[in-house]
Amino acid sequence: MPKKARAKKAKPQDERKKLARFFIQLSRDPGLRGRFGKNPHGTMVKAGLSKKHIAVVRSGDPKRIRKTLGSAGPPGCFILLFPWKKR
Amino acid sequence: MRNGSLTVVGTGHLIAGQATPEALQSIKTAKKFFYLVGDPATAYWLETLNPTAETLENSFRIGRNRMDSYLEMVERVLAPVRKGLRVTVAFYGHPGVFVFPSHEAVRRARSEGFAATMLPGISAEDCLFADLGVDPGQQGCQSFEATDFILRKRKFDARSPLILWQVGGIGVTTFRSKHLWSRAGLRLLTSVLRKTYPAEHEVIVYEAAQYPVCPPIIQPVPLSQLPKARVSIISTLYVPPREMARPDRRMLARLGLRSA
Repeated sequence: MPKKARAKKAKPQDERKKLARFFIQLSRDPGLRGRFGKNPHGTMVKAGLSKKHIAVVRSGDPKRIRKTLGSAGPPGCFILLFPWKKR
Repeated sequence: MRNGSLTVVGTGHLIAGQATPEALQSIKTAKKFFYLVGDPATAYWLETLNPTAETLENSFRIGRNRMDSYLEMVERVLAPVRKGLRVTVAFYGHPGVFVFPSHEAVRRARSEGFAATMLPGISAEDCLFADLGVDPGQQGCQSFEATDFILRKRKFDARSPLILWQVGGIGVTTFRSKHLWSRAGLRLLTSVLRKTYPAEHEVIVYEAAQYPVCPPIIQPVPLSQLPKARVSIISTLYVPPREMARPDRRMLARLGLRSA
């Protein structure tokens, strides 16, 4: 694959990482959370989020956010306690 | 005690915001680190904390019996312990609440002579207490896995809050990728609860917040409408008490107390 095409293909992954990093920082940095509360759009622009991802964050829809981050399924659906078997 | 150890930790529910300092320390200093979390951002975060990070998610396959997946995870986690490494494994939520492989790995590690520890974390129930303003010290609290609640006909007190876990996966033994695994199970649960609570009794479908930009999902519905509610596999059902329990007069007297 030509270099240019490879770089283009890797971009959505980098964008997703940027979004993930933004959520991580938002969870761990009360200062950033405060700035986000006062000026969500400006904080996201400063964090380098794309227009598409800014819209996803603003939607406040966890399913949409999860899908954008790259998960097809529901969260935490795999550590359920279940001792029963189908007949 | 043999060389090699296992520490099991929880990451809570909110991305990167609910892991305790001791859990973080254990993750960062482990010689081998495994994780099983429900969100790609949490996975990304954990991978930045320890370069040996390895997901256990690929032990799941659509349609595979979950117990087979759990046992495979246990063996994957114990393999480096047996080689003498200090191993940490992180699960989302509390690592000891509704997590079979964590308890099983600790049990097996100890039985083989390895040091094994489970550190407490923040469970969905902890989040529920905070978000719904429920204090289990006020009227008590009963907590059951929903399928277990139905199958074993659990006895409960309708004068005390009732919490039912995994209401979106009632009767399902395999792994599925949908958000709601069984609408039929939800209908069955409703019919069981209707024997004790009136149709208009308001119940709450709850999901802890996972992203710092999303509030928790708190969906009050009359019990009769529960089968039509937006329920996912991570939803927890909160059933408020039907009535207040009155104190027993004789017991009050025996304790030398009177109603305030």
